Amino acid sequence: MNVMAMSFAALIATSVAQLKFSGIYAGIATPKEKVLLAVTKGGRVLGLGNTSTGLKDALDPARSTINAKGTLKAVTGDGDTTINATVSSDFKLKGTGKSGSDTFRITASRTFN
Amino acid sequence: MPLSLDKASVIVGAILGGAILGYFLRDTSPDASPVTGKNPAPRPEPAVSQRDVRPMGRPTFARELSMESQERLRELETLAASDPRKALTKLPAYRDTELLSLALTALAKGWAQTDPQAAAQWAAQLESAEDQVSAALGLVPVWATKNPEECLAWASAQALGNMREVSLVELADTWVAHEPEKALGRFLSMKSEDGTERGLHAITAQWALDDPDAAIEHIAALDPAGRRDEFLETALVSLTNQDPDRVWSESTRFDDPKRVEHVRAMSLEAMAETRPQGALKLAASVGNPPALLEAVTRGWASWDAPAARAWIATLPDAELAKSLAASISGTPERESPASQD
Repeated sequence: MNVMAMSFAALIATSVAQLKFSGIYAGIATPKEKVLLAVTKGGRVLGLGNTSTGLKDALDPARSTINAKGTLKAVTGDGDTTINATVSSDFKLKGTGKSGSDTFRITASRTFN
Repeated sequence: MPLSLDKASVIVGAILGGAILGYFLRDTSPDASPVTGKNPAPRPEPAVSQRDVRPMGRPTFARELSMESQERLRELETLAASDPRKALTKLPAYRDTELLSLALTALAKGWAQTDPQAAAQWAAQLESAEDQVSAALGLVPVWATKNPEECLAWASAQALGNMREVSLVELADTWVAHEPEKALGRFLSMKSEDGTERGLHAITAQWALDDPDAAIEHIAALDPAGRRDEFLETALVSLTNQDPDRVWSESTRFDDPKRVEHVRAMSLEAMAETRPQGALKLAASVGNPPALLEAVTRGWASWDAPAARAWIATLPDAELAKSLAASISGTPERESPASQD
């Protein structure tokens, strides 16, 4: 296998990787607010309504994404709260949220795919 | 055969979930336009672009793509790497299908392997912000791996808007995996905007997970008069799931006692999810501040609320017990991890 073919093989292996993370994730944002996120196969992240003070606005799906590595980067519509999290192969989502200069934890699990 | 309660709940849940999703995912864009590969007459960008908060049109969600669709996407990506012009001719076939965003990502990703500049030029000319973001998701991780400075120069030169923001965030996320110190330095040196702020969050949070020693030392050495404490807090809170003990021991790096307590609380909350007794010991070692006990009970109750409540009931201080019980009332319960205590 030549170098070009090898690079294509690597490409093929990851080309649709982001598909596997799609689904609905339910969890908690510190201190105890419920979080419900939807991850689409197109690599977008939607907030499905929650009561978190840090996430009081729905996430902006046009700017909230997940990539093929499973790194989720989301932001509320007003831009005040951002989330940076990783979805593991067992569909656990763990990461941090930031509101202004304050940081909080966010953890969730996929409940529906 | 009658449905069990569990099955009925699942079905009802799925219907409700579908209704909620339908609301969020409905296509309300008045000017949804086909992807043509190139837009010969790009619209002039407004001085400050409007936020495009339209729900994504026709996202693929909640069901598997067929193997055939997955194969089509793989072929498109491969073709884009070897013959991008030919790959562009395939795009109209994806118009008005659920695969459009994935096709744009795949094409950009393949093209970026061989000519990221050309792929970037094409991505920037796509008509809608939604399509541009889809392309950026494929383009930026590949380009940033090959040449982050070149990718940053391109992203920074784009008009303010979703593609620029998402590109900066993806760039930060990719760059930090290879050159975290450089990535942080470059993002800190840039004028603040949504993309750089989100990028800084991504860098500080991810670096702490990838290389805690280097990340903590480097961020702790930033200018205290700047945003050193903010970024150090982000790094440490990010590390809580992976190593709450380490976070506890690093919490004294802050001068602000509120930050010390917040980081300790995050550490104990994470620790209590698997080791509540260990978390209680650490809280006791600093005098059992109520905020820390709340964090312990919160983490504990998230997977074993009865045990947390039973512990609260043993407390001699009735006021504290009442306060802690209130703090975990209605706490959503997660899957139970194996306790390590």
